[in-house]
Amino acid sequence: MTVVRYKVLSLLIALVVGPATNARTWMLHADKGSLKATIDRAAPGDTIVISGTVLEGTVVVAKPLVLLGGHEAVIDGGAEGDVLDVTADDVTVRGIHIRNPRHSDLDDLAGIKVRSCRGVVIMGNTFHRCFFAMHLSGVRDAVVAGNTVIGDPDDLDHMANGIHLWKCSNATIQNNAIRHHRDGIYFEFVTDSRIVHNTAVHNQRYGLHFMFSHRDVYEDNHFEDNGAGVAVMYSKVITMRRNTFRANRGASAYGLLLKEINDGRIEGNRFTDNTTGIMVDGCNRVRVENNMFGLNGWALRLFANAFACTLTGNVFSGNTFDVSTNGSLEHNTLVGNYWDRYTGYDLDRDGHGDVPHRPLGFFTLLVERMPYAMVFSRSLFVSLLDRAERLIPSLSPGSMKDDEPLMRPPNKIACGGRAGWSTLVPIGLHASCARWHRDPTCHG
Amino acid sequence: MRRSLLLLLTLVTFGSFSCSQVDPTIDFGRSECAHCRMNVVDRQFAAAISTNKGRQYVFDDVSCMVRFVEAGNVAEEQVAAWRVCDHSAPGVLIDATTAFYLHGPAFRSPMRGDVAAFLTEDQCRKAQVGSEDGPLDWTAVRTTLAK
Repeated sequence: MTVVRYKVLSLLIALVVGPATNARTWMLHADKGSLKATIDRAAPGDTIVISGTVLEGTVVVAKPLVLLGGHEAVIDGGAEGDVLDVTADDVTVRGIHIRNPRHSDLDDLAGIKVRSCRGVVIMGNTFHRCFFAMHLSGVRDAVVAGNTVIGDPDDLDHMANGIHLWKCSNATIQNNAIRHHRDGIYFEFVTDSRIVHNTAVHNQRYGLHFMFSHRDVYEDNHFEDNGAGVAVMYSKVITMRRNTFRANRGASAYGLLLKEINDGRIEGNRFTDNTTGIMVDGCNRVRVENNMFGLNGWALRLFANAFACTLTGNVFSGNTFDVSTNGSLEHNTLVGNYWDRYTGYDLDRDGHGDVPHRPLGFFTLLVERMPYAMVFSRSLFVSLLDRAERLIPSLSPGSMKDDEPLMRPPNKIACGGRAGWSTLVPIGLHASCARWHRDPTCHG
Repeated sequence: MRRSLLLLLTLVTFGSFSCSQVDPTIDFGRSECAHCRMNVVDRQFAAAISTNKGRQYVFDDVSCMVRFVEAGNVAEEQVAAWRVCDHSAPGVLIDATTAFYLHGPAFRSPMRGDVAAFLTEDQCRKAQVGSEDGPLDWTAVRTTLAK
């Protein structure tokens, strides 16, 4: 009996401690040894600590290993192909500088390519001038965190995406900084994944790009000065919370571009200083709630093919145009937003204006039909016409009005969040901003 | 002498304007796809049309061009020039109606039309490495993409 118990105990110990004690750590100095040879000799679960510059062409990692960066660890692809090619489950690559894959328009060559496996961890690496920095296809449970990805600002035309995921699921993309790539982060056929606390700036096309990806969440990211901030296209159930969309400017630039989206949620985001804050083309059941639109050209452009979308609790302030559309917006709800242009009154003091607000001015409609009429923006004649249209609405679509406009911006938007309103808008740029700054309840 | 030179210069300038009306150009990185609204950056799959009136429409994918015209945004007979990017010479626009095409998942175009165009049949066959359909002609490509 005791023997049996002893056997069971030793088996348990072997199971729990065994793998940990058996795993070896290989110290590799690139001048003295070869990474490929070390990987060949290492057993699954081993750790390889790299120091110095590895220059061995494409390095294939086909067993579960941990590659750690030691002193000045660099893996240089020598422009031969991919730099690291990961094909095994549970591989970790951490703290390594990765550079110089070959650039090719025909193959998707990357700093780290991960193919058909699960549980890869790519953490704390830097990527410099890689065609693709990370390219994951058919990967489950990937973690990509804390990486710095810098493309080539002088050759943007020949850069591919920073973090590229294709047919992946349950991925976490966290705390990465990406700039000077085509798309900062690109999702195609990626489901049930999270993108949090990333920064994407100066990318040529989009900071973040979804195509045919469903049930994903992105939160607390910062998108600035990209071709367009974020494009969500042909995707379902995407949640977008507390992101910042800033300074995405140009004729075809948007803070957020939505194309054929169903059941999305857009909550607590900040859109400032964009040519167009949100462009909505073909969306069903999208909720736009508690967002802040400040100092944009167009805060929101809705195409008439939007259906059952709800806009509530948003703040519109200092935009040239608040809402614009190319037709009527019959089947959408617009209620309880704050509009700095609202000139009504609140006699019963319930916080909501007593007369509806019509955000769609005469001039907005005119510009939508004749873009070149923009030269008359802010002219006396246009303000007169706008005023007249507001008093006697004849052109604006009947349903396009907010029946309960807020008299004051909701506090949680004006003051809440990490970045306060005052840090986003130069003081005194707009009357309403100044009013907010004086507001004693606001400590943004 | 000076006056005639000026006249010549003016003529040349206006001449080049009128040429550019027929041949569409793409400003990569800035142009927006007329169909899907994405920025046009991929030099291997972009396409463009110009109309009889000289209006240009730029697309990031051949499939966008086909669907844009199928949807009736521009009447077929109004199109003066159909152009696609040569897959083997990125950024160079060639006549779409006489080009040779390959269709398959190996070509990952921005809007998943997955069609690559080539100037010559020879180049087209060279690029055919796997199970791509082709070489297809313009009519066949349009039928495939319009589905």
